[in-house]
Amino acid sequence: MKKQLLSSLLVCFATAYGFAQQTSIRGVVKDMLTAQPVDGAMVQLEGTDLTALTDAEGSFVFLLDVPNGEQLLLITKNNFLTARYPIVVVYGETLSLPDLMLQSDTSNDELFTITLSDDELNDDSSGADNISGLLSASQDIFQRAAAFEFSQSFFRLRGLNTDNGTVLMNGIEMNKIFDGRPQWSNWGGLNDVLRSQELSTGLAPSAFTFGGLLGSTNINLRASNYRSGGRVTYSSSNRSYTNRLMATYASGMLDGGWAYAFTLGRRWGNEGFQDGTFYDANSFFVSVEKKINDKHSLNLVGFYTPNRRGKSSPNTQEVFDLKGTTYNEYWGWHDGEKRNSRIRRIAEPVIMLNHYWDLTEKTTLNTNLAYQFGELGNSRLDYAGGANPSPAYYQQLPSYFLADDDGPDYAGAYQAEQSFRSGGQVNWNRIYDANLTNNINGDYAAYVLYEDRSDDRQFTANTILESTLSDNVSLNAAVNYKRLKSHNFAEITDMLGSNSGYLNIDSFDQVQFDLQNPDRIVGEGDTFRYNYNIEANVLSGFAQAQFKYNKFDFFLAGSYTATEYQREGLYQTETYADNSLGKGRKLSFGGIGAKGGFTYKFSGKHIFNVNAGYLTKAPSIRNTFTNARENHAIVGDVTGIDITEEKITSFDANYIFRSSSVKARLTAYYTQMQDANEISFYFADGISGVDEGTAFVQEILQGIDKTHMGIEFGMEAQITPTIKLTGVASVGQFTYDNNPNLVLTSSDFVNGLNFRESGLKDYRIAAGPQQAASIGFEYRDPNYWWFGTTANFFADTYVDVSPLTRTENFFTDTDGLPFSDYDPDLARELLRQERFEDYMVINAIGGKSWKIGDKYISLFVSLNNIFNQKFKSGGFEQGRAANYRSLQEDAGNPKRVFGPKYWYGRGPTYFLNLNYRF
Amino acid sequence: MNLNFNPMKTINFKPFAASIFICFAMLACVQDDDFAVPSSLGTEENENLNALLQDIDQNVIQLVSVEYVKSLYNGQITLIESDLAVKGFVSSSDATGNFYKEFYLQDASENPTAGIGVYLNQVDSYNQFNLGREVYINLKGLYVGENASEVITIGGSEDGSRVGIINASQIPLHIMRSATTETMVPMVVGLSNVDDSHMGLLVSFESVQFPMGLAGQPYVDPYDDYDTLRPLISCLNGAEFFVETSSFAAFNQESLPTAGRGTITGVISKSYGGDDRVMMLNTTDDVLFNDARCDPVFEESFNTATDNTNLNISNWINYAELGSELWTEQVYGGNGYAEFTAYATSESSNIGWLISPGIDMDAQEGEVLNFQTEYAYPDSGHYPLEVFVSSNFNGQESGIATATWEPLSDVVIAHPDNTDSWFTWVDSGVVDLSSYSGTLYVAFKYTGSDTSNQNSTIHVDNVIVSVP
Repeated sequence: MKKQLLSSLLVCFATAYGFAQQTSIRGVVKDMLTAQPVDGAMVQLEGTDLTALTDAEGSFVFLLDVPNGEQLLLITKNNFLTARYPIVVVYGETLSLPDLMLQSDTSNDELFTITLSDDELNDDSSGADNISGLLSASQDIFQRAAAFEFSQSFFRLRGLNTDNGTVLMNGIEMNKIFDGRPQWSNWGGLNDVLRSQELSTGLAPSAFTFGGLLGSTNINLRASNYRSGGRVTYSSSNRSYTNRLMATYASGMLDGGWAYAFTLGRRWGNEGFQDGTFYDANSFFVSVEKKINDKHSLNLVGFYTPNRRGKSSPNTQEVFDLKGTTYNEYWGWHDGEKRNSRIRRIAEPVIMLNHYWDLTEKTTLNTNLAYQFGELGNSRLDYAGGANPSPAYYQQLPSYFLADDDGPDYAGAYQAEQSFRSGGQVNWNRIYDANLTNNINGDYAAYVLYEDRSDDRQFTANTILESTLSDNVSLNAAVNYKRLKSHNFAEITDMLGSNSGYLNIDSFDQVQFDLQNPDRIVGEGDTFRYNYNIEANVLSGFAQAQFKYNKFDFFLAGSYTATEYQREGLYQTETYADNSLGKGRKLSFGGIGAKGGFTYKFSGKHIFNVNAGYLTKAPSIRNTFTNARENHAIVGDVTGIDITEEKITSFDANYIFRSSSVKARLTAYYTQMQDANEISFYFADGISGVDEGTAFVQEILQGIDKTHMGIEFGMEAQITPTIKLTGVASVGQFTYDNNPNLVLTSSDFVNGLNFRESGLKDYRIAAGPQQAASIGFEYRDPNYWWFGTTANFFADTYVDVSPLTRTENFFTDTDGLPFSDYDPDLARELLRQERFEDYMVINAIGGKSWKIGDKYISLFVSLNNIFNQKFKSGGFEQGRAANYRSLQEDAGNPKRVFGPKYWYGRGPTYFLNLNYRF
Repeated sequence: MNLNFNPMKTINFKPFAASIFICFAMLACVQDDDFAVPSSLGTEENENLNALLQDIDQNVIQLVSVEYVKSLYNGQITLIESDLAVKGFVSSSDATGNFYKEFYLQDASENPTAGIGVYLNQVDSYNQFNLGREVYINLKGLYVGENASEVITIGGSEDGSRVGIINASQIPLHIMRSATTETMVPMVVGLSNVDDSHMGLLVSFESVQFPMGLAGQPYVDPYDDYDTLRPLISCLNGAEFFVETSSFAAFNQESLPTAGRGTITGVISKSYGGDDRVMMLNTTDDVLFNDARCDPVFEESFNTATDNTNLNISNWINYAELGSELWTEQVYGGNGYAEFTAYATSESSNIGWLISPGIDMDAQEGEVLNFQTEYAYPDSGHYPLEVFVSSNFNGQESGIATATWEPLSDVVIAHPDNTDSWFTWVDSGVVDLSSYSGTLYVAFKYTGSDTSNQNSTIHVDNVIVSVP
C-alpha cells in the first residue's frame, strides 16, 4: 500500500492520550483527495474479530476487548484502496486517530472499465474468451494481474473457462444456460454502476450462491448503494472501440426513501486493432429503489446494452505472413467503406425486481425476479449460388498452387500472392454483381447475408436467506428457479441486390431444410435453414454454514440442481425427417455440489487455508444436443453410452502472508474434471469409410477427463511510501487425462461414425499460456499522479489439437485397413502438439487526478505491448487433412494448405480515460 | 409510504441532461446494416470493355467470328499472338453445377452457326457470365485448342495436349461483358443430324423421350464417379442421343422424366475423351416432357437376329413368292437387321416378302412409319425393294396374293446407283399412316434375278410405327 510509512508516522504523531480508563480506539476515516469523511468503511483490527463500520461522519470506535501492543488496522471500502495502519495500543488508554486517509482507487476504476468493456468481447466462436471481467474487482494481487496484465494473452485462471465462474447481479445468476458462460456484452458500458462487487474466488464461500470452481461475483445494482453524484467519462482507445462516452448519475438516498441511479453510455469506432472491426454499442441503465420501511426495500433495475461489432478472423500462418497480424478476412470495401460481413449483434435487456427484507437484525431475505429477453445475432454470408466469398479460402492462396499434384505451380502461386496481397478482402461488388446478374434471368440470389439468431426469453426467480446465528456462525441458503425458451433460427438480413429470392434448401446436397414447406422461396426478414426452440428448466437449492473463530474459520456448503432440456423442432429437415420436427425427448439431469474449507490463522501475518469440493453438473445445452439445428440427437446416441453429468473434484491450499510492507499469497490447486462432453462443427477431409472422405461434420467427444493443476503466487511489496513492487506467477499444467470417445455425425452419414478412442491423454489443453509471470513497479506521487510498468512473461501456450486426427481414422485408409505406408515415427512427429513461442510483453499505466472546487477530474492512460511483441494468443488445428496420408502430404508441402489457424495478440495499444466527477 | 418522488430537487438536472444529449447527438456514425447496391459496381469492367470496343473501332484490335477462332486450331494448341477479339453469347450455365469451370459461347443468340468453349478458373460463373450475356474476349495471349472432351475451347495456357485454364487474374483482363443479355432461342435440330458444327450451341430436340427401361433412374447413376450418359430417343425416327450429366450437378439424383416426351434443350458437347456427342443440360427446367410418351405402336430392331440364318422372327412372315430365296437375319457390328439378295441364287426370278405382324391402328391416332435401309453390292438400275401396307391381309401366306397392298410412295429408300452409299443406312423419313384403321401389315417386297444381274443386296432395320 502506498504511503504506509508516511501514514504510520502521521498516525504515531497523531496518537494522543485520552482520558478514559478503558482501552479503546477511536478514529475518523477521510477521503485523501477531498478530506471529507468516508462513511461505510470497514475497519478491522487484523488478527482479531474486531470490526466496525464508519458512520456518516467517518467515525468508528473499538471499545471492547482491544488487545494491547502493536496492531494492524485494516480499512477497506469499495472504490478505495485498502489501507493498513500500524498502531500501538496502550492498556487503559484511548488511541485517537483523527485522520485516517483512504485514497480513491482510481486505478481500479479505470482498469476495471477497460477490462469489462474490452477484452471480454472475444466471442464464443473465437474459443479465446477470458476471465478478466470476473476478477477485475478483486483486491488480490494475483487476480488483478491475471485480469489486467495477462488477459491480453487470453490467460485463463487455472486453465478454466468462464463457465466455471458464476456472475450474479442483485443475486440473480447471469450465466447463460446455453453454455454456462456469462454474456459480458449484456452489461458492457455500464462500468460506473457495476463497481460494487462481492467476489469470492475459487471454492471460497459466497453468501449468494454455491458458485463454480472459479468462484462467483455478485454485482450490487441497488440504487441506494451508489454514492450520490454524477460522473462523465470519455475514453479513447485503439483496442476495440475508438471512443467511449459514459454519464452516470446517482441520487443517493432521498427523502421519502427513494433512490435512483442511471447510466447512459456509448462506445463506438470504425475500426479496432483488427482491420474492419467496427464497434457500435449503447448502454442504458436505470435503478430505482424505494425503502418502504426499516425492514423492507424494493428495487427495480433495468438495463439494455445493444451492441454491434465487426468480428475478426483466425488465420493460417501463411495468411499472417502475407497480410500481417491485423488482417481480418471478414471485411471488404463497399463504396469506400469497410464493410464487415460478420457482425455480432446482441440486444438482451434485463429487468429485475428485488425485494430486501430484514426479518430480524441478523436475518435477511432477498427475493428476486428477473426477466431477460432479446436477440443475439451473428451474421455471415451464405453462398448457395456463388463461389465461397472468403478471400482467404484455401484455393485462393499461394500454398494451394505450390501444393499442386503436378508439382509446384510457381506462376499460379505468384499470381495468387499478388492478388491476395493487393486484395484479399470480401469482394462486395462481385457479390452484388452476381445477384444483379442473376436477376436478369430470374435465378435465385447467389449470395445472401444472414444472421444466426438466438432469441432467448428467460425468467428467473430466487430467494436468498442470510442469517447470523451467533457471533461465530452464519447461515446462507437460496432457492433458484430459471426457465428459458431459446428460439434459434437463421434469418436473411440482406438480399444484397437480389430480387428473385433464395431457395430454402441445402444447395450442397439438394436437401430440404423445411419439408413442411418444400422449395420455399425466402427473402429479407424470412427464417430459413433451421428453426428450433430449446426449453430449459433449472431448479436449484443451496445451503451453507460458515463458522468464524479467533484462530480458525471453516465452512460447509451443499447444493442440488435439477436441470431439464427439451428441443422442439419447428422445421422438419429432410435428412432427419423422423427426428427433427416437434418436441424431442425431455432430458433430465441432477447435479450435486459439496464443498468445505478451513482457515487457520497462525497470526495476523500468517494464514493457512484449504478448500475442497466435489460437484456434478448437467452438461450445458451446447454440449448436449449434437446438431440442434437439424435434429433431436444428443451426445451418446451413436455410442449407446448415456450422457451424464460432468463430475468435478477440486482442491486448493493457500498460504497468505501479510505484513505492513509485504502482502503475498501462495496457492496450490488440483482440479479433476470427468465425463465432460464437447461438440464442435467443421468441414472434415480425410474421413475413412466415407465417399470422397469429406463432409461437414459434428464432432462429438464424450467422456473427456481433464486435470488442471498448478501453483499461483502473488506478492506486492511497499518499498517506500511511494514505490511498490509486484511479482506474480502462475505455473500450471492443464492436460487431457484420458482418451475420450469420438463420434462424427453428418448429413452424409446419418447413422454417425464411431471412431472410439481419441488418443488425447497427456495432450495439453488449449487454455492460453499455462505459465505466466509478471513483475511490476509502481510509483504514486503525493501530488496525485502515479505511473507503473509491468513486464509480463508467457510460456507454454499450445495449439488446440484436432481430436479426429488422434483416432483410428488417422491411420486407416478409406477401406478401413491401415495405410500401407504408415510410419509410426513420422506419425508421432506429425501429431506433435504445437507449442507457441514464449514471449514477453511490457505494459505501462499512469494517471493523475485534479480537484477543481468540489469536482474531480482524473486522467488515466494505459499502454499495452509497448514494444510490439508479436505473439500467438491461441490457435487450433483444422479438421482438414485428418488422416496420416493427407496430413503427411500437407506437412510436406512447401507451405501448409490446411495448417492451424491462429489468433495473434494485439500490437501496441493505448487506452486513455478522462473522468469528471461531481 | 412517501411517494413524493422528485429527482429534480437535489441537483440542477437540466444542464446535465442537456450536455449528455448534445454529446450523444454528436456521436460519429459507424457501419450500420443499411447498405445499398454499391455505386461503383461495374465501373472497372466498363472501362475495360470500352477500351476494347474503342480498339475494335479503330482497328487496333480485329473482331473476328467464333468460326474463325475455331479455325485457328489446327490440331495443335495455338497461342493467339495477334490483336484479335471475339464476341459471343453465353449458351451454358453452371448454376446447377453440371458445367464446371467452363462456359460456352455461340456467335448469335438465334440461329447460331458456331460455338466454342471457354475454360476459366471460376466456379459459379453463371452469376457473372449469365445465359444469353454478350461477352467479348480479348484473345491476344490466350490459347485455342481442345479441352478434355475434345471440344474446341479458348484457354489460358497449354496443358499437355489440352488447353489450360484461364486463371483468375487473367479473367478480368480478357473476358468482358457488355450490358446486353439476349434471350437465347435454342436451335431446333434433329437427333440424328447433330454434328461437330453444333458444338457449344444451345440446341433443342423436339419429340424425344428417355427409354422406358430407365423409369425411376436418376440422371446420374450413383455408381458413376463423374458423369452418366443417358440415351434420348427420338419419337420421329428412333434415333438415339446421349444426355450427359455430371455427378456434381445439383439435379444428379432427380429421376429421369420417363413419363412423357417433349422438348429438351441443352448445350451440345462431347463426353469426356470425346467419344460421343452429348447434350448437357443447363437445368432440368429445360426438359419439358409434358406430352404422352411415344413408345412405338410397333417396333422391330432385328437385334435378336442370328447371323446368316433364314429370318424366323415370330409373327413375321418370310415368304418366297418366286424362287426359293428367303429373307435372312444378319448381324454386323452388334447390330441385327434383315437382308435379302438374289445374288448366288442361280434363279431367274426371286420375289421375297417380309411382312410384319399385324399392327392395331385403332388404339391410337396419328401413327407414322419409320425404318432404315441400306445397300450392299447394288446393281445400277436395280430397285429391288418396295414397301406396302395392307389393311385387309388375313395374316396367312395364302392370303398374300389376295390382299390389297398399297405401295408407300413417299418412302426414302437407299439408292443403288450411288456406290458411295454402300453400307450406309438411309432413313425412310416419317411416313404418315394415320389414315389407316383396323389391323395393318407392313410388307417389304424384294424383286430380282440372279441371272440378269438384278441381284442387289438390301438391308432393312428398325421398323417402327409410332405416334410422334
